[in-house]
Amino acid sequence: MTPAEMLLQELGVTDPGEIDLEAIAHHVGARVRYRALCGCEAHILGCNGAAVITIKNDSSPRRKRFSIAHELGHWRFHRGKALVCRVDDYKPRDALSPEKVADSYAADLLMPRYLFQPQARGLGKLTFDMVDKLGRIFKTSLTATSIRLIDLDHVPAFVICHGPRGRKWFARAACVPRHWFPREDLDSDSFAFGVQFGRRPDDPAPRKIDADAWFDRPDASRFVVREQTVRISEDETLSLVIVEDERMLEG
Amino acid sequence: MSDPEDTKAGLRRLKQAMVDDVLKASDQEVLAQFAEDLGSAEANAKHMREAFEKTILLANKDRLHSARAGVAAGKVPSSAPAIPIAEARARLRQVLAAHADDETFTLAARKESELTDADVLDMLEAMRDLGLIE
Repeated sequence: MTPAEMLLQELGVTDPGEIDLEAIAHHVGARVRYRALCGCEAHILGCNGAAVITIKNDSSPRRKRFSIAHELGHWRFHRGKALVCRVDDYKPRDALSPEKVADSYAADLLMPRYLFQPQARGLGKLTFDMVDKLGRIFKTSLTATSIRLIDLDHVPAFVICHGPRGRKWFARAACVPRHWFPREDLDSDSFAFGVQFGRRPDDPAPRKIDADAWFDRPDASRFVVREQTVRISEDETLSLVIVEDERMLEG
Repeated sequence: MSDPEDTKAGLRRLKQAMVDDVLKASDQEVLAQFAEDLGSAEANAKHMREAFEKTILLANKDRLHSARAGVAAGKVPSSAPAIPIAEARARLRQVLAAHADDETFTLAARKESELTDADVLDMLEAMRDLGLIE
């Protein structure tokens, strides 16, 4: 169990609705307040065992929750340090930077495995509709919830974010071999291409597509994957690429 | 009719004999007996462990309730005195410099130079709340 999950258990949290971040902060000596911040989403200032977490008051409720959880991550792991940082949208980060550590803590606090996995299993196949339902239960964004599902190896799949200039980041389930690496740029055969550049509407469900639309490998054309793409902001799309052919999972 | 005291003494002897029986038995014999009477010992142990963990979790909810009460009690608006922004920035830089090597001081925020005036005033308010400045 991770430190965030242990903290939730210490508080007897047995239901996602009980993940009360202000109460959790209070329990660890931090007070949360909301202000009209302009230069950043949130910050934490602490001295000895007490801290003040300040959150931008006009952010969305889910964004505020993520920011509090992220700052609690700093409070847990970076006490006694002065970090120059910013709270970005939750996305996979490469190195074990303080921001990555705080993000991981936030994911564990907002979507603890012992509550998240049973709920995810109960919602059936991986689709953005399923991710949205899960996000409503845990009050987390579509992006954060998708990454959590992939990170917990719920299904052999990828979640990939694209902008107008190509791939911005991706997360891959641990059960998918690392040689399956998504293309840098969107292939015109992918459904995502139409959503990203053609202003096509979101895909209502994952659809079958040749794997070479997503992976630049000589053997990719032998396989079929499922893809679903939705728009998440003015210039960004999020795609689920689901591996169903077990031969793709062989190392 | 038998004497109640004799009955009690008999029951005590029976209980002791049963305890002795259990204590004399090997682990395998105890497990075999358990399986015969109640089924899988492993499944039962898992069930008991889950029940135990659930009880602990439920008992811990008191902490969550008191933390919620603490949050509600601590909701008091703070009033910050008006201060010229140049002075506020200088004050902030001064406090940050004073705590640069302080291991009890924690900060995760943007650089002072990247903070807007409102953010600087807000940071000073947080410092006041924590007793770092008067």
